[in-house]
Amino acid sequence: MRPRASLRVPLLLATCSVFVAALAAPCDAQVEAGLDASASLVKYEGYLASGAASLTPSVTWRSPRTALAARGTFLIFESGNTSIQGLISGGTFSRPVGALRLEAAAEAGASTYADFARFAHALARVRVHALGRTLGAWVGPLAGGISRGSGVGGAWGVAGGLWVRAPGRALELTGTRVAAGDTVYSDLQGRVRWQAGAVELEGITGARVASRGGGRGLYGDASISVRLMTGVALVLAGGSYASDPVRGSISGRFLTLGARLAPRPRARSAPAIQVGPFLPPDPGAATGRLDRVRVAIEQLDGLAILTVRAVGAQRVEVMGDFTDWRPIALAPAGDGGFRHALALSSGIYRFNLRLDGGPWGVPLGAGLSADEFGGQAGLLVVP
Amino acid sequence: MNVRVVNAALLGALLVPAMARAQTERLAGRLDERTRAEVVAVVDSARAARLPSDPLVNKALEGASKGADGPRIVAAVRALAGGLARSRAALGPASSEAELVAGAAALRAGAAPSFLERLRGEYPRAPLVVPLAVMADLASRGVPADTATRSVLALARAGAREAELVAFRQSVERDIALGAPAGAAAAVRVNAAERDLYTGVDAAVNPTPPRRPRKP
Repeated sequence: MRPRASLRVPLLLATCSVFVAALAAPCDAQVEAGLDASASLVKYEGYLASGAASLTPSVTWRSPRTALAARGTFLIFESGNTSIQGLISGGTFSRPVGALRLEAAAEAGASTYADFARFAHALARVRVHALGRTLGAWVGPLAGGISRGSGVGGAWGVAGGLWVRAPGRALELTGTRVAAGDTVYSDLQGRVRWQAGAVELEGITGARVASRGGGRGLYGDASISVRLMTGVALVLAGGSYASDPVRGSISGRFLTLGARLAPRPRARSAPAIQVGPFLPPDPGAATGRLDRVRVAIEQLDGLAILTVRAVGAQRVEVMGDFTDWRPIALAPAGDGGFRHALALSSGIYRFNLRLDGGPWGVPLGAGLSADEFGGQAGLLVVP
Repeated sequence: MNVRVVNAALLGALLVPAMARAQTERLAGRLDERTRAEVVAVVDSARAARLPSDPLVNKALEGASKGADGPRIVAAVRALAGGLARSRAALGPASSEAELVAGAAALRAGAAPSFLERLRGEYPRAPLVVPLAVMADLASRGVPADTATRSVLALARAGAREAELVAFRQSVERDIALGAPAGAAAAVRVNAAERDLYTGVDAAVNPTPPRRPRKP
C-alpha cells in the first residue's frame, strides 16, 4: 500500500523523529518481542457478525527514557477477506525539571481491508507531564495528517489526563478533543488496571461526546490476562469500542480469546567494561553464600532487631561493625527464626553471617559489598 | 555566648582524645603491634583531616577477624581512608558519615567521583546512603560498574525513592540468583522499574497488542 504523496512528508517526519528519539538515548536498552494469536467474534457497526482470526507480531526497543515500537496485525474474516495493519511509534522523555517532564512522540501507521479500503496516518505530539509518586497529570497537543482512500486531510487535537497508582493498581482518566478531516469529536475515558500474581485485569469505559461525524455514545471493554508460564499468557477480552477516525477504524463489539507469547526481554546493555576491584568468578565458593537464609532489620523501641530466617539451622552467628567483628550468636526465635537486638544509630554497617559453624557469608536481603580480603560483606542500612 | 563556646571547646578537648583512645583500644589484642601502630597512624591522619575514623577501625577489625595478614589490613585501611576523602570531595563537606562510607564503597566498586556528584544533584536534600549502597551492591554482584551507575542514576532521575531503589536491588538479586547474567538483569530491571515509576503515564509507545479486532 502506498500512502498518498501529501502524506509522505508527515510519514517521513514521523518516522525520522521516531528514530532520532531512539538514537537520543545512549543508556542501556532492551528489546521486547511478542506474538499475539487470537480468535474473535466481532460485530462491526453496519456489518453482520463475523468470526475472525488474527496474528499480531510486535517488537519494542526501550531505553530508560526512550522507546521505539513496531507492530503489525494480519486479520482474516469468515468471508475470506483480510485486513493488514502496521504501526510504528516512538517517544522520548526529557530530563525532569522539578516534577515536570516533557514528552515528544510520534507515530505512523497504515491499514488496508480487502482491496478497497486503505488508510494511513502520521501524528506527532508533545506532552507536559507532572509526575508524582502516586499521582500525576499530563496535557499536550497533537497534530498530523490522515489519508482515507481518496481524501487527505489534517488532524489535530489536544488531550489531558490524570492518573493515580498504588502497587498493582492504576487508574487513569483522560479527555481528548480531536479534529480529523471534517470529523470532530471528544472522548472522556477511564481505564483501570489491576494485577495480582499471574492475573492482570483491565477495564476501559468511555463516552464520546460533542461529536460531529464521529458518532456518540458509551463504550467499554474488559480483559483478563492469565500468565500460564514465563512468556505465555492467555487473554480473554470483550466489549465495545468507538470508531477511531484518525487511525481509520470503525466502531464495533467483540469477544476475543487469544494467546500472548512474549519471551523474556533481552537486554542490550553496554559491553562489560569492568572497572575497579571485582569478585572471584564464583563468590559463593569463596564466601559460602547463604542463599537460603534471609536477613532483615526491624525497628523496635529505638533498637534495631536483626532477624535472620534460617530454617533447619541450629546456630546462627553474626559479626560486623556492630560487634567489633567478633562473632556473637543470635537467639532462636522459633520457626527457623533467629534474632538479636542491636543499638544501632542511623548508618551503614558491614557484617557477615554463618550457620552452624560453617563459612562466613552474606544472606539474601542484605546488600553486598566486596571486602579487601578476598571475600564479601553484607551491607545493612539503618534509616 | 562566650561561656558556652568555651564550655563546648573544653568538652571537645576532653572528649576527642577520649574517643580517640577508645577507638584505638578496640584494636588492642586484635592486631600485632606493628600492624596496630600503622593502622593507628592512618586513623590519626584521618581524624586530623576530619574524616570519620570509626569505619577505619572497623575495617582493621574486619581484616583481623577474616585472618588477613598485617600488610593487607594496613593497605585496606589506607584504601578506605583514601576512599572516604574522595567520597567527601565528591559529595560535599556536609555529608554524613554514613554517606561517606557508602560513597567510598561505591567508589571502590568502580563508580567514578562524577557519579557521586551527579547523585547529589539528583537528591540535593535526601540522604544518599541507599542509592550509593545499591550501586556498590550491584557491582559486587557482577553488574558492570558503568551499568550499575547508569541504572541508579536513571532511577534517581525518574524520582525513585529509597523503597523503590531497594526493590530494584532485590529484583536484580533475584534474577541473578535464578541464573540471569548480572548486567542483563540490571538493564532489564532498571527499565521495568523506571516504567513502573511512570505507571499511569500513557506514553506514546504503548505497544500492547490490540485486543480488539479492528477493521478499517
